[in-house]
Amino acid sequence: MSKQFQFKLVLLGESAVGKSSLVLRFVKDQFDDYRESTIGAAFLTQTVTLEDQTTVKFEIWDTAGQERYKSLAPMYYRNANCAVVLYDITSSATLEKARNWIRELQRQADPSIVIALCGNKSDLAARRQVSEEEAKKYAEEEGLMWAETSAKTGDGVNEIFTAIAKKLPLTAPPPSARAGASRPGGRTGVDLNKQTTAQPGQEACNC
Amino acid sequence: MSAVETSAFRALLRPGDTVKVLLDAFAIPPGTDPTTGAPLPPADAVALLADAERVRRASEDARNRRLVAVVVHNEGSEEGSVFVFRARSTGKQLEQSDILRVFPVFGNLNISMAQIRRTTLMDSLRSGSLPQAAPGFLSLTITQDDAASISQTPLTLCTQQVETLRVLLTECKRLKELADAPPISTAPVLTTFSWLSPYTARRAPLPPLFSIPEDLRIARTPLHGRLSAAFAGQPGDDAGDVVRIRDEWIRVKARDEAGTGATRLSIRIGTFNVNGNLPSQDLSLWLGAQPLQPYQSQGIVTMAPALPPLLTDLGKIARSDFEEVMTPATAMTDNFQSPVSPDPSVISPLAGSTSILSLVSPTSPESSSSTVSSASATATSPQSSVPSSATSTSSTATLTTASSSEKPDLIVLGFQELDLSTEALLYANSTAREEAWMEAIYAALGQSKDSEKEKGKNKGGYVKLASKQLVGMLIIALVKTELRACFDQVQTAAAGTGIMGLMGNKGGTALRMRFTPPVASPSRSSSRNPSILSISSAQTTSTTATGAQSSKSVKLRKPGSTILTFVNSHLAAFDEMVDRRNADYAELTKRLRFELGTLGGESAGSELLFGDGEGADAVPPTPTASAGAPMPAGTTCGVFESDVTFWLGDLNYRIDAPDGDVRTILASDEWEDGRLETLVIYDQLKAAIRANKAFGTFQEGTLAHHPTYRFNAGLLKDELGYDLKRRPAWTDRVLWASNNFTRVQQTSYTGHPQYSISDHKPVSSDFTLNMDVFDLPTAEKSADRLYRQLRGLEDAHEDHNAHVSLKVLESSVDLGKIGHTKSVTKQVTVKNIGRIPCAYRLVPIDGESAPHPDWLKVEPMAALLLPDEIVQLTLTTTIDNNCAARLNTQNKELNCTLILHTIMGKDHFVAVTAEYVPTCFGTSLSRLTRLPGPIRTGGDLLSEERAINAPREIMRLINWMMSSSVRMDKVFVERADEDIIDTIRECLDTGVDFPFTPDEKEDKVPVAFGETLLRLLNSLPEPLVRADLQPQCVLQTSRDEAFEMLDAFEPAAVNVWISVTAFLHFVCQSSAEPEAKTLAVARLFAPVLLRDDAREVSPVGRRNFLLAFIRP
Ligand SMILES: Nc1nc2c(ncn2[C@@H]2O[C@H](COP(=O)(O)OP(=O)(O)OP(=O)(O)O)[C@@H](O)[C@H]2O)c(=O)[nH]1
Ligand SMILES: [Mg+2]
Repeated sequence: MSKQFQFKLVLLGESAVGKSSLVLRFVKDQFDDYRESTIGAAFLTQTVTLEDQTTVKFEIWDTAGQERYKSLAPMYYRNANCAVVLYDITSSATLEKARNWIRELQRQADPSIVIALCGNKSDLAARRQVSEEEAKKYAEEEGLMWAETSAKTGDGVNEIFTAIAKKLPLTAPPPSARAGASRPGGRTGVDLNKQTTAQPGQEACNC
Repeated sequence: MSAVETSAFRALLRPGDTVKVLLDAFAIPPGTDPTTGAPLPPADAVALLADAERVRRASEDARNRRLVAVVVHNEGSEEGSVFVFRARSTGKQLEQSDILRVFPVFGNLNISMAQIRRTTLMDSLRSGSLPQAAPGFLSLTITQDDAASISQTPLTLCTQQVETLRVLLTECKRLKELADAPPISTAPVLTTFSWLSPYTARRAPLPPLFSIPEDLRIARTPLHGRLSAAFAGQPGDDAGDVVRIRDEWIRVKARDEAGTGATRLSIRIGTFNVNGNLPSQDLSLWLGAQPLQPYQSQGIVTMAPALPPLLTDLGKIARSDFEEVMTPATAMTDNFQSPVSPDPSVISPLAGSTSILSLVSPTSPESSSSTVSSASATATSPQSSVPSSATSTSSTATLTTASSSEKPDLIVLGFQELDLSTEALLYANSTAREEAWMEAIYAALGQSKDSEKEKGKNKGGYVKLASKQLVGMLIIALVKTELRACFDQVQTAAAGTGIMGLMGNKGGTALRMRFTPPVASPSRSSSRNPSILSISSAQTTSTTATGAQSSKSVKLRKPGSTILTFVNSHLAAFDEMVDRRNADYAELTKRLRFELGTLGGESAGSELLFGDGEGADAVPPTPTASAGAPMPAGTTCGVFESDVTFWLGDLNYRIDAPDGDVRTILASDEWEDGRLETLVIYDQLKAAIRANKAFGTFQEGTLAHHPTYRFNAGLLKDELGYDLKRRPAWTDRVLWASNNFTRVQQTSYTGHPQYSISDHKPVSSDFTLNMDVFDLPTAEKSADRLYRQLRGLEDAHEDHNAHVSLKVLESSVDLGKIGHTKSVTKQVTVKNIGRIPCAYRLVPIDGESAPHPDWLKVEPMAALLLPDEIVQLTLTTTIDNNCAARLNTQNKELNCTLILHTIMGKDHFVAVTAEYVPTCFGTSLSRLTRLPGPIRTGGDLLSEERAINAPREIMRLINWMMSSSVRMDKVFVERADEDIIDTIRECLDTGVDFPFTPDEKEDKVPVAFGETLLRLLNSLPEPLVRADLQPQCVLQTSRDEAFEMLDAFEPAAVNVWISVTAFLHFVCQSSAEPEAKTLAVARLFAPVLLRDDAREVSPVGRRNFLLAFIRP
């Protein structure tokens, strides 16, 4: 019998750094050259299996990077077990933004949150503005995980998620990632102390 | 098993699930013995052993073929399950709906087998021994009695594939050992057979959409309000929400597709607390059984019982006199109309009380031919056509006469305090009182009490449908004889809430019944069956509700029915017991329950989920589960599981205004028009409804009659006859609640002061129900089809990365300038660009917020979209006084983000911006006086010392009206023109001059000015006379004292008060009838200037305070 865990992961970072692209690569192993900017938040899931056959299921919230939606981000990172903060290695301004996000997470998010800093678009090393050393040094100071990735080529993508999975506390039961478990039989909107009317079979499927 | 079949079968499974064994088997249908015709017992293994012939017959019918598969899921560890499929006849794809049973292999799963006819050997999985291969049939019985399993019923099938069965058993044994092995670690394990849920979830049937109506409390909640709690980043119960959205969508669509028109039913409802008395007056007025001069509440109530006394020899009087007068219009029996009646009266609202049902079937050739063929289908007036036996004058009866005097189809009467004796409380089984009242009722209806027995002679009369008594509470339903057959499943219920919360001195009794409109068919449409009615397509266009009529041709085979529920209750007495009344109501809504389990066969049954239960239903289970098996015994339903519920009775709610006020207002001629409106504000029942403390689901018509309690025959009464020791009250009420498929129109609601039987007056109310007629089989088929169409919706649940894909075309909306008066509307296009259906709902940003700010309305808040479907999300600004009061003091730049949550998918943001244009409306007096100029010009507020004396806006209005040449005659009398009001407001806010010159011949403009003043004063966040000062104001008895009160007002309030009252005084003085004008003006302005939001200050006192200033 293998163990399975479930964690909530949130992606943060300046618009166009490649958050949605990174998730798409991780979840579907695809890449689009032209992606629309995210206006909202997308929910996806992906499972990674570790060497000891433990499976870790990520419930991923991909957020909107545009400044005007910044105030909504806390809604999506609350209760998150881990966060991936992205910057684009070809733009030092995006690292600045990433630092802001990290500061905010350290202040506002669950104190046990695992944070990974990711330099994306490593395939564009020719236009690099952020050196590996600089980012790595910052990550070490703050006690963050760090890696460079390319959603385009896939380099480093699975590795960073697997590394996060290993870093997560796999011994204790995970905190319930999502308040209202979205499973059948979850809480309902209306409770009218309805008594059993003729709806046999509604209790089906606890199997 | 063909390779094609095997692969079709595999295609059904989800990736990762594999078929290990596939067995060809068949089910044994329940049936009748071919020789005796006796029903055969369900096919259990033991019975089959002895009946090889039945097994052989079953094996030959392709419809019985079943596939049994062992499916294994391997995600880290192996789990297995036995699936039972219905095999499709060749060529047809297997569908998910073909999965009949799913038995997880663990725990108590047991598969036993037996050999038919030959040596019997029962063998079980547990014993581990396997049967020898043998020719002939084998039966296998699968039992899974673990509580968590899908169905408890063992399933028995037969097969000839002995070898495959052996493999199947071996495999199951292996899987069971795996599953039952103790877990290796104690770490949290998230999956235990959860992989099965996609197979079983989609088998969850729709609730019985068409037999048991949805609880009215839910049906009357907008869809969005029924969904789970959710907010940004925290979806609620998406899976549950999807089901709720889906069911609603299917319910409406299926009924729409099956709609054939509408039908009508007229109902007279009466309630009467008889205070233990016997009927001593003719009841026909209360029953509406004679041409009513509906009691008008104007003037003084006459107390003289102007009714003929009830004669004791009931059989003889039989209202012969009335009969003569009434025959033309009331003898409404056989009624056939032309199916294409162009008669506009059919859709006229006046026809609202047309007694008989009209089956509207626009295009059904069958029904139209049937009515055309009937002899009486001539072009007579639809309301007045009568059987040939009636005189020809009937056809000339005017519409008005006909509609006001027609007999209702159904009469429901509630009595309270029928019997006040102690014996009644203790041994509540005497029907003597009921019989006495029944006799009086029949007499009033012009029938003898025995008329029920002599059915043939009872044409046009009524028969008792049901009654239920609990101590003093009795409810009786009578139906027109010719409609008796349309009502069935009549159930009764009773519950006491009296002494110790249980005794029947208080409580309720209730009736529930099913009404099915008759189907027109040629053979039945003879004059002997008058209730089959006719047809008018025009009628449907007057309906407005969701189940909009379709023009498509649906043949009416079996009409869907409507459930009607009637509750008669007597709630706790005394003024101060309002909480107890509310509690009694709540209690009754829980405890009044109707037993459905006893209803048989065609009843409101619902099919069991895995209908293959007893091994062999020939008909595959449909998810719509409608008619069919009777409900299991013990199934009950409440008063809200109904299409329409009427609640009547002595609800005992009182009027929370001072006793003196109530009597003064009722009796004094100074209160003329606004008399009842003023008192209704203080009615406890209306307050309970407003606060949603009781009767929140119900609505009630306008109370336009005097309070019906308490009258006293003795000396201690006031001039109206009300008992001096009891504050008059509307204790006797009729309320209703209905769903969208049943439209209720109240055509009368009145008390009957002419009765002096009791200390209460009886109350009656007439209703017309308009119900969609739909063909039940068609609706069920549609629902089934729609259900399949929506299947992908639930799939998405299992795979969040799947394809629910909604596109919001506009990610931001600028509403531009928005203000208090005119609302601005903008649309956002939402499109389903995915390949499967998808649903969205708006969610708030967090648990404390609403999905949108109070100044914005968004429709629809939740919707379901088929692939490629587009929904226009409509944003409308709504800024009322309260909202304006807040916005006026805030930043003018408004913005918010709407979060559109795709169920099981993305959240989409829509950024909304607007620029708020402030207005003097909803601005406080203190702020208005500190504005440096007109509110739109902005600028910093003046310091308090530099505040102006009175708001310039109010003074501008008064000054304009006071200018010499303005005609004030119509001011505060006529209705104002909204456009002119808008212009005036705009001028007040901008400071621009009014574009109107006073003109002696012009009324419209002054009227609008007057109305604007009234509205502006009413929009003040705090009333001009502050709430805390009002109790003192009402104590002032002289004009001087009243003027002294002004010292307590703030300076600005004093100035406004003086200006306004001086102006009003002037208006009244210059009127042709100063006294009448003064009263009218006081009635309008007192509730505004001394607004009493808490309803705590005497309305008479407040008015007198104002009168002290404006009286000539
Ligand atoms: N060369 C290269 N381009 C990338 C990479 N990742 C993303 N992109 C491109 O960068 C652009 C933006 O990527 P998105 O994934 O939409 O960025 P985002 O962070 O989700 O942006 P918002 O949704 O606006 O917050 C797209 O055109 C991608 O094709 C990468 O690793 N290498
Ligand atoms: Mg994105």
